[in-house]
Amino acid sequence: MSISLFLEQVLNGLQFGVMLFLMSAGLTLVFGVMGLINLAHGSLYMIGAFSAAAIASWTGSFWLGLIASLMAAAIAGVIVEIVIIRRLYKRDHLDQVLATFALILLFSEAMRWIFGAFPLFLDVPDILSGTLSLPLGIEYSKYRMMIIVVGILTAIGLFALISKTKLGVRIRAGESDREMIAALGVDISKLYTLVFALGAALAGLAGAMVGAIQSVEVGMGEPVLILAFVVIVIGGIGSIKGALVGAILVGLTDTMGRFLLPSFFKIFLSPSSATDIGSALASMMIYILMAAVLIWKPSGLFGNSAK
Amino acid sequence: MIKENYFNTICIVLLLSVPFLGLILDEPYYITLATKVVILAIAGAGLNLVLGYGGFVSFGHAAFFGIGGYVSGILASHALNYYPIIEWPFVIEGTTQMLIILPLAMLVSGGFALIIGMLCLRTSGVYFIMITLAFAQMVYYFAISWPAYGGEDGLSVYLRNNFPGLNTMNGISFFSICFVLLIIVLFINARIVNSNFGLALQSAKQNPERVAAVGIEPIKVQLIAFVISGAITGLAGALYTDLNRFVSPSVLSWHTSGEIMVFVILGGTARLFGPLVGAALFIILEQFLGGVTENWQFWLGFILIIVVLFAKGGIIGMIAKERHNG
Amino acid sequence: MVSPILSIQKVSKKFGAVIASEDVSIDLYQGEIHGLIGPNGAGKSTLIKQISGELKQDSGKIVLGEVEISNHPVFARAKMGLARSFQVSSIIPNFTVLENVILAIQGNLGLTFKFWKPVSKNQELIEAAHGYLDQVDLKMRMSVVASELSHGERRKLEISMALALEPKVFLLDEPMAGLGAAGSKVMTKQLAKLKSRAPILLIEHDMDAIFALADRISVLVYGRVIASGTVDEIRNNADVRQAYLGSDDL
Repeated sequence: MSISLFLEQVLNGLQFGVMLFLMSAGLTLVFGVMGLINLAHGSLYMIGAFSAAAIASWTGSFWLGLIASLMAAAIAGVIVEIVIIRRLYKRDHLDQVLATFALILLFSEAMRWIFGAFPLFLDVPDILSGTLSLPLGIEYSKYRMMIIVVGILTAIGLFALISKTKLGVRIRAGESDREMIAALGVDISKLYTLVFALGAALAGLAGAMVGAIQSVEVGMGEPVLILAFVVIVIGGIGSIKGALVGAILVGLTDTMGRFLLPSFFKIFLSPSSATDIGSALASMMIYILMAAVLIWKPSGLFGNSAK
Repeated sequence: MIKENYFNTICIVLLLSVPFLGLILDEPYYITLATKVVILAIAGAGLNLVLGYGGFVSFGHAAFFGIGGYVSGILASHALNYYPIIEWPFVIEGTTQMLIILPLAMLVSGGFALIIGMLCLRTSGVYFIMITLAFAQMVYYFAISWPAYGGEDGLSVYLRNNFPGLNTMNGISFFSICFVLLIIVLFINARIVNSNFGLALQSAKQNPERVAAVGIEPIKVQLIAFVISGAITGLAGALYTDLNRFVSPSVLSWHTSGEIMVFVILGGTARLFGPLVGAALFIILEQFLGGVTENWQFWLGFILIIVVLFAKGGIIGMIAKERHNG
Repeated sequence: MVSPILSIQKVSKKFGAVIASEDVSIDLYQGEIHGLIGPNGAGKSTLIKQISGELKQDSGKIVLGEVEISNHPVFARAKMGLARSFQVSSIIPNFTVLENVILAIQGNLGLTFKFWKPVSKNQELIEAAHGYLDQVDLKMRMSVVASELSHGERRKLEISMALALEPKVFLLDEPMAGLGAAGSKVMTKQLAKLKSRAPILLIEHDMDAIFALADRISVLVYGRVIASGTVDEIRNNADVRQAYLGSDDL
């Protein structure tokens, strides 16, 4: 196995991780600030992908599609927050799980009704097609590189937002003590709507970017949603830093696991058994990772057990 | 508002009328439907023990449903293909005897519940929900990638399992077996809930600190409830495979976990007949709305949101009088 | 020399830079009520939690009878005879008063893993519970759902549950909290009766009650025991007066 193949997989792992970060950041913020478990986050990812694909095929521009995805997801987020989500803040986790599970059903069927059962396609824009020549003989897809870059920039932006802006202060205060910030006169409902919309926009962006490498179809958000939950549990609920570390960890573990495990087993098993066991174990890898982290640190790597 | 016991009796009567009608009108489909409701009710009854009475949200019960289902499928398919399961160190052959398969399914799923419970119950709140989900996902992906039993395509079992004295391929006979099992499960649930153990379990839901202060270890109580819950749900899974003569990884998906939770909620948590009412409602919606529109799940979601936001006690909560505990 | 029923030996705990408990030693002997007083923030609750097992001490030992319980979890200490009542009433809200007490009895007797017989048909448990409720004058309210009890009745229920544990030691955290003058009088009489069952470590703010009930008193200030002795000794202790300077309590 060549070094360049190995490194290419590492980059893939990073790209996957970065996309998971975009999903998890919103999820962890919403839980950290509002105490809400939102299963419908995957639907916002799907909405972003569908909007991007629809607008891109209508206007012919990938970039307009990307902008559309941000807007559509954010708007959907705002509407859902105002109509349903805000009634759930004071409810227990079971109610939140059920109501947002119901939202998944609503969104999925609505999408199916609007767009039909067949997947849409989103094309990679011309300037990003083709590969980039990197050191050590690696030829890496320009588009995937862009995803990594966008992800890193978003992470930096989020950290700046949280630590340097007034909004960030309110968010951090909200995470520590909800009642207090209300008492201090911060408009809680606007803050919550904003946080929710921000998370939604990030999810939509992730969906749109991934839409060009995979197909855009109903239900695409669900596997990603589960992974995002795994990420925030590993990272610690409420922590953006945890979401980043967790996302990269999960992304790398999954990608490298799928890449390395079958080869590893081939050392002492027959090729077909090796592939079977290797891929079975690879799909279970992240869950094993999550269980191990939780057993060692029940509140996640950077979480506080206050929640 | 009527008394809960009267309501429960009415439920049984209504339930039994469906296969009866099916028999008279020569519509075997009704019988299959009623059987499906009964089996899903058993699964819900298992979950209700921990969700309704125990107060912890397990989002991984599909794992137990699926494990029970695969135990049944694997044992039966080995027997029907005359192929032993293991040949070394001693031969273990498959079987199609329900009286062996069902207890075994309960044992295996209960065993998994023990392991998963020991690992998960150290966490609480969201973490518990997520880690139960994670374990279910692990089992799901394992089933998909393990080719020996069909992988993603699933496993077919061309005959129903055997029950002494009955022709299980006959719809009514199979329904009767499932119905009797449901009654037994509900009876056992009632006993558990009203016993000393049930008192401790429901107290731990409301105030675990107080429970520890009187010398009871809350986690031990919850673990045992979790194991019983897993075993009951596993029983339902085994029956489901038998009903459909087919099992596939889709019974292990988190959608299934969510659906089982939906039965429990729609009917009313911590209500003995809640899972039955919820399962019935779910199947009715699936049949009637599903006949009208492909997108019936949209309306299921809509109803679910209404129930969660405005009718927390579920259907039974709206019709029957409140009981004071839990 | 008679050995103490409960012995807290040089227990210390810090939270970061904050000293919650510093070398706290208290011995509780059979037949006595040992009062624990101190201004707010003195660390009384933290100390209680270390004794009951809710918090783990950084150093020091806690011995119940002959057994060291320093590392035992909460439920184990309760089973061994440590009955704690809470400052904020901790009851099972959706169950009746009777069921609450039955829970305590079943905890004490280790009857929790019985799955078959309905509690409502268990005459032995019910009668035993009647007995414990009688002792706090709560029997006539036994069918009332606990969430509907008045504040004073909840305090009584707490005591009843503590009694039901047939404990070796009572650990009572501000049993008078929130009770008016009449309620406090009743509770004071109640606690005096309790003394014959088992010794009591009594945390209180109500000075009248403490001076009426306690045989000995320890005073906790900023996590340290600054004085320990009989009621009169404490009353006349200069350090204690200074700690309470400005208060009319003494």
